[in-house]
Amino acid sequence: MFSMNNKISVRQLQILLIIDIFGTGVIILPRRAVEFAGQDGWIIVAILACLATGSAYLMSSVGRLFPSESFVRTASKLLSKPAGKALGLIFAAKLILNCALEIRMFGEIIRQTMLPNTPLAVVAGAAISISAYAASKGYEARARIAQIIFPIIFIPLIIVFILALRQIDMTNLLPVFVAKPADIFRGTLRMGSAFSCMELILIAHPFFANPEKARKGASSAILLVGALMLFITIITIAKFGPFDVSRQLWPVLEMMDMVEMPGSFIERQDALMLSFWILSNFAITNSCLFFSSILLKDVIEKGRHLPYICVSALITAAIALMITNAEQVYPIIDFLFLTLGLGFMVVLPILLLVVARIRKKGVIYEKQT
Amino acid sequence: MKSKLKLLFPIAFLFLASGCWDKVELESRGFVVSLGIDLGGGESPFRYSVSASLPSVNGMRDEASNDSSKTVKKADGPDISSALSLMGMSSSQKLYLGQARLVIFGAELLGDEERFKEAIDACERNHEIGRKIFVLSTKGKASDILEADIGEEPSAGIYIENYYRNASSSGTLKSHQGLSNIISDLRSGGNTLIPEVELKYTQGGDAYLELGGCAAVKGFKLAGFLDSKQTRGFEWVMGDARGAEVSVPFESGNEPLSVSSGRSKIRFQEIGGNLECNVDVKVRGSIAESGFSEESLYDASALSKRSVKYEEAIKQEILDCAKLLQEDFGADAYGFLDMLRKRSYSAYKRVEGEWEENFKKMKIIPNVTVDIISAGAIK
Repeated sequence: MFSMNNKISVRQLQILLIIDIFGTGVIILPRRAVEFAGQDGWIIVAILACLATGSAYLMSSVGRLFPSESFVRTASKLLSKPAGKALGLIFAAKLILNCALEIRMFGEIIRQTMLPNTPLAVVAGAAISISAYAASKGYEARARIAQIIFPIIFIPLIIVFILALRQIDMTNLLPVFVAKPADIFRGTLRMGSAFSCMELILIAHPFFANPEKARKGASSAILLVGALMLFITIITIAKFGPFDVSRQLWPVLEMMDMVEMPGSFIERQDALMLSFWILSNFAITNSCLFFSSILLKDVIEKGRHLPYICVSALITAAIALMITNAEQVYPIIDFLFLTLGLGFMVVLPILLLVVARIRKKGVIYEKQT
Repeated sequence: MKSKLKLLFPIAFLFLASGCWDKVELESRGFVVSLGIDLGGGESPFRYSVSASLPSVNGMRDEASNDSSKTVKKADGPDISSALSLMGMSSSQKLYLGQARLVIFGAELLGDEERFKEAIDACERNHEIGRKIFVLSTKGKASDILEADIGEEPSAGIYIENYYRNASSSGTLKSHQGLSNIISDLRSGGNTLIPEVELKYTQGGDAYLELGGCAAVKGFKLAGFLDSKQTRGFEWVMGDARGAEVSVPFESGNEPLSVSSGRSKIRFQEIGGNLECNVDVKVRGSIAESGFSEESLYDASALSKRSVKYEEAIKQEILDCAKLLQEDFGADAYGFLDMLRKRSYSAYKRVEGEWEENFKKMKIIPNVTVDIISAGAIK
C-alpha cells in the first residue's frame, strides 16, 4: 500500500478525478444552468453528466490501447511522432491555461469573500507555489494527499447540502420541461467546461496499478461527480428560485451561507465552506502543473519532470495575473472547452480508437492478431 | 546549508499565510449591528440618510460604565455606499457590516420606487451584508428607531434577532424577515411584505419597540401597511401561523386557541373564465383558557362547536387580508402569479399579461379546518 512505485489504485484514481473536477466551476454552475434554461437548468447538468461519463469511457479506452505508455507515445504510435508531440504540446498549453483561469477565479473568490485588500499576486503565488511543491513529489504522493483531503472536503459539504434539503422549496423547479430544446442544447455545449480537467484521464494511464479496471473506475467517478453537481444545482434552484439564482454571482456559496446549522456558532459559514473548496482548488492546480510538466517532459524527452513544473508554474502565474477582470474568465473557459476541451475529451479519443482499430495497433488488437 | 534553505521556505510562507494586508485589530473595527436607511430630505441636499448603530467602545470595555452602550452614526449621501463611506470618515474605527443583524427602511424611502430599488440593490451588492440580515419597515424614520434609548433592549438589531429566535408570534411575518426572502419576492413580481417595527412609549414615557404588522410593497413601492391581525390573515394563507393565538368570544368569555401547526394548500381553478383560488388551511391547536365554565371540554360536541367558531374567525382574517391586498392595494404579496406559473403554466400564460386586474377579480375561497388536539391541562 505504501510502496513508492508512482502507481495508484483505482480507488485513488476515482478520488483524484472527483477532487480535480469539483473545482470553482461548481460554485457558478446553477447560475449558468438557469441562464440557459430557467428552472429546467438541472436538465442541462443531467445531460452533461451522462455525456461526461461517456467521454470518460472513451478516454479510458484509449489508455487501454497501450496501458504503460504515456499519452505522447501512444499518440505517436497511432498517428505519427510529430503529431504526437504536437498534441502533447497543445495539451500542456491547455492545462496551463486551465490552471491559470482556475487560479484567477480562486483569487477573485478569496478577494471578495475573505481577503479584500490582499493582492492577487500573493494569493495566486501562494496557491501556485504550494501546488507546485506537491506536484514535484509525484503522482503517488498526490493520490495519498487526495485520500486524506477527500473526506475533509466532502463530508462537511454533503452534511450542509443535506441540511439544506429541509429549507428548500421544490416547487421552485416547476414547471418542468418548458425550456426550449435549442436552449438546452446551447447550455449543454457552453456548460461542458464544468467538467474541465476530466481529460487528465488520457494522460494518467501509465500511473495506474490496474489499468484494466481503470475504465470502469473512471466512468463511475465521473458519474458520481455529475450526480453531485446535479444535486447541488437542484437544491440551489429550489432554495432561491430561478429568478434569484440568475442574479447571484456565486449562488452555491450563498446557499451554503443560508443553511441554518443546528447549534452552529460560526458567523462566517460561507468562509468555512469555502475553505473546503480551497483544498479542491489546490488539487486542481497541482494536477494541471503535474500533468503539464509530464507532457512537456515527454515532448522534449529530456530530464525529470521537476524543472518543467517550474516552467509551468511561472507561465500559469503570469497568465493568471494578466487577466485583470475576473469576468473575462468565463468566456475564455467556454472558448477553451468548445475548442480544445471537446477536442481532447471527444474528438481525439474517437480518432485514436478508430486509427487503432484500422491499423490494428494496441494491446487488444495485437493480441487478436 | 541545504537544511537552512529548506527552513527558509516555510518561514517565508508564514508571512504570506497570515493575509496581513487584511489585518484589522478588534478595537479598530466598528461593528455595525443595525442599519437604518431613510430618504434624505429637509436641509440635506442628498438623496439618502443612513444611520448605523454600533456597540459603544466604552460599553464593550466595561458593562457597568455609565456611558450609553451604543453609538449611532449618521451620514447623508447621494447613494448608500457614499453615505457609508462618509460615515466611516467620522470614525476612527473601520466600519464593518459583516455582523449587522438588521436593516430598517423608513416609510418615505419605501414610498419612492427608484430609491427603494437602489436601497435593496445596495444591500444585495454589499459583500459584507449577508442575505440572512433581517429587514424591517417603519411608518416613521428608521433613524428614530436606532437612536431611541430603550433601556432593556439597547440594540434594535440584537432585539429583533433574539425576538425571532426566542419569542416570535404570529402577525410578525416570521417567514419574511430576511433579505433573501424579500429579494426573491421582488425579483419574481416586485411585490412583497416587509415586517414592521414601531417605536412606542409607555404612559411613563419610556420608549419600547413593538414588532407587528407589515408594509405591503407593490411594484417596488409602498402600497400601505397591514396591522397584526391582517398580517396573520396572510400567514394563514402561507401556512405560517404557528404560534398564533386565535381568540373568539364564547358563552363564558373569550377562549383563545394556541395554534401548534397551521398548514395550507393553495389550488387554482378556472370557472367560467374566472380564476378562483382555494386556500385549504388545516390548523391544529389547544384551547388555552375557557373562562372557568361548567361545560366539560372533554365532550366531542363542545369541541366541535368551538372548532366551528375558530374556523369562522380564521376565515374572516383570511378574507380581511385578501380584501385589503386585492381591492385596496392591488398587490399580489402572496405570490399567486408565481404559484400559478409553477402549477398551471397554461393558465399562467393566459393571465400574466393583465395580472393586476385578474388578481383583483380573483375569488379567494378559504376552507379552514380546525383540529383541537387538547382542551388544556387542568391541575
